[in-house]
Formats: sequence, C-alpha cells, structure tokens
Amino acid sequence: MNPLVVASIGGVSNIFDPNVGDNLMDLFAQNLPVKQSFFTPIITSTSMNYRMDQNLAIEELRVDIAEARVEKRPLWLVTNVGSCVAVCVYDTVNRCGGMAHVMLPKWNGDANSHPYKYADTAVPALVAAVRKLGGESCSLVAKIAGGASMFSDVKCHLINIGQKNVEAVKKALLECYVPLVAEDTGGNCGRRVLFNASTGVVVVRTIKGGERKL
Amino acid sequence: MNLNDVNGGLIKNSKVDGVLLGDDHRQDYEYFDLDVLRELGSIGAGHAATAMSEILQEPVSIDIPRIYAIPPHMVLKCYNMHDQPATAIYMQLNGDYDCDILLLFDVEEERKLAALMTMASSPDEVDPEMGASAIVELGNILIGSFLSAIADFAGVTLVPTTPQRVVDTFDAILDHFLVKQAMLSNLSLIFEAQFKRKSGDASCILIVFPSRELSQILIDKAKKFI
Repeated sequence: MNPLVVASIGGVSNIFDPNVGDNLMDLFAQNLPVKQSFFTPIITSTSMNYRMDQNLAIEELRVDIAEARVEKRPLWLVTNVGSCVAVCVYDTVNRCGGMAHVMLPKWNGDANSHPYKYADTAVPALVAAVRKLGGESCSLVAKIAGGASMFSDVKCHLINIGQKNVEAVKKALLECYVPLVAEDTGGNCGRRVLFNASTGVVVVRTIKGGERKL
Repeated sequence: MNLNDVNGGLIKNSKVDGVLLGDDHRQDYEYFDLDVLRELGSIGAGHAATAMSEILQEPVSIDIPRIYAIPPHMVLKCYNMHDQPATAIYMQLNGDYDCDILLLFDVEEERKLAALMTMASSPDEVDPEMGASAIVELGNILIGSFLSAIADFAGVTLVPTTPQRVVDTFDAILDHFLVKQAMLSNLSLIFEAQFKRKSGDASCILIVFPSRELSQILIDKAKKFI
C-alpha cells in the first residue's frame, strides 16, 4: 500500500514534515554520490519514515530523535533509544496517545531550540497535545523506556546521562500529574520502542532478541 | 499528527562538495575551514585504509570523506539506517582535547573480518570472544593510524583511550554521541569516511566528532601549510 495514500485516508494532513525530506533530498541529489551500500546516507524521503511491519501487519510511524507524534489511529509509533528516553502518554478514556523522543534532561534556555529535545519542555508539551487530541474528559497514564548507558565514558564528562534523562522525565510527569504506570529503563543496550497509540500497549525490543510488553 | 514545527529549513545548500553546513548556523564555521578540516581527515583516512589493507592483505578503497556541520538531531535523518544492527568500536582522545571516534561495521561484515583476522576458514568457526577481540584490535589499529597521521601533519599530540566494542542498532549507538553533542552546542561537527574491502559487499565507516576547540586548533595548524 502506498504510504502517502494511507496518510491521506487517515485524514490528518500534517503527518510528515515535508521540509526536512525535501531539503535533504535536494542536498544529496546535488552534491553527494548516492550509492546503495550499508552505510551510505540515502535520500531521506518523507515516505521512508513509514513502513509495514511484517510481524504485526499494521503500519509503523517513526518518531525521530527530538521529535514527537500524537496519534488516534491504530498505528505503532516506533523509535530507537539508547541513552535518550521514549515517553509514551496514553489517554485511557479516549484511546489515543503520543510519543516523544527526549534527548536531554534540561532546557538550555535557547529560544530557537527544539521543544521536544528536553525532558522538562517535552513532557508538558506532549501531555498538552494528547489532552487536546483526546478532549476535555481524559485520564492520562505514562510509560517510559530508554535511558541506557551504552558506553562508559572514560573522561567522565557525562556520568550516566541516561539516568539523568529518566529522572528528569519522571519529575516532569509528576509535575504534570500524569502517573507513570510502567517503565523499562537503564541497562546497557539500546531499545526499539513500539507504542500502539490506540491500545496503549508498549513493546520494547532489544538487539539480543529480548521482548518486553509494558 | 506530527508535532514538529521547527525542523524544516535547516539545511539549504552546500557550496563545497561533501561539506554539509546547517543554514542558520553559518556564522559558526566557514566553508573553507570545513574543507581544510576535511582534507586533514582525508590524510588520516588514507593512512587508516593503508593499515587496513596491510592487515587484511587485500585492497581497500575509500570514499571521498565528508564533513557535516548540522544540528545533532538531524544526523540520524541523514543516515536513515534506523534499525540496522551494527558493531561499533569507540575510542576517545586522552588529554586536553575532547573528541569521540567511532568505527562502525555491518554485523555480517564484522564476522567475515574476524574470520580473516583469526585465519579461520569460515566465519562460523571463529570463537566469539576471539572474534570480538580481533575486531577491537582492528579498530584500534585503524583509529590509531588515522590519528597519528593527523597528529604528524598538524603537529599536535593525539592519544586515544582504550577501545570499547558494542553491538546494537545504528540509531541506539549514535544516540549516545548525539546526546553528548547536543549538550555542548546546537551544531555538531562530524567527519565521516568509508572503507570498503575489494571482496566485501559492505563498507565500514569511521565517524569522528571533534570538539570545537580541537577542530579550531587543527584548522589553524593546517592553514599554515596553505
């Protein structure tokens, strides 16, 4: 199925951010040799964020780093986290939810920076967005995953940024009065986080084949 | 519904081939400086490829190295290899300079390289621990020759720490470094070179995240030769 067709059936116009894909596409088309090999940066078209999962047989939407999405349709929101944290907020009454990929614990005060990059700005924004999508009567719960420390930093510049991220997200959720019902954090391996926005199920997979349902 | 509104318009054009510069941070780096840095990196990459070729007794080709100066959260979009498993060898610089160096292999390619390094007839016969150790050693040698070539040329001392190996998805590996970059500034500088064995079907990639101080020192030193 053509992903763009699916997008238009869904009736949500602003699913992809076309600017990014177009700019990158121009850029690579003009200047960089494009070859199909393992590590070649290939053209990021808007439709590539979208693919079918063979096992689950429903569509996936990718949430990139420092981004967020809210969704009402039965899709999987997918992201890969290492020391970042994936925050999933689910509305149990209206059966919708959103996911944010948080990168750093604290906003640095830069007005131009990305709102979904920092835990203390991303969580309130995500909660507000899910509330807006769900309507007045909503009951939110949150599930988080991520915050691993994959490499031990020899020069100790960032001692466990993953843990700091998790703590900051928890604090921000508490301030928004959203209960945290499940988490899969810490450890030393990256996670692929899938969040079904219509059922609230979070599936966490690791590269070693581990799978955990939250 | 996508909630991102400020993502667009970051990258517009690049005047120099292989140099990517974010549009709204143009004052931070000059195209010329980045090209100087890329040239310096090419020298290092050339030496690293020679070292790899000598170890494996096989011709190794390198792509034209690239340099990116883009916001950290845009980097994964450029690669678009989100769920691909990869093996990473990670080293840092000791001393005054801050720099992360990362060597990434395709998992299948890594097994083949381990077999070549340990003189096994097929990848299945390699003891996993032995193979991992061989790959770490290969990474150590490649990164070491990369750094020593740059250090010799620019007249600085670059001593790396001991290597670490990790196997994970591409996104999760780069995540750690992008977080670190994002903590320091809104713009991350990335040098990238790709090596390919003649008989291999996948390339291995060297990604360097130099700090602003280190890149400025290298640019100043290299400009003396121009």
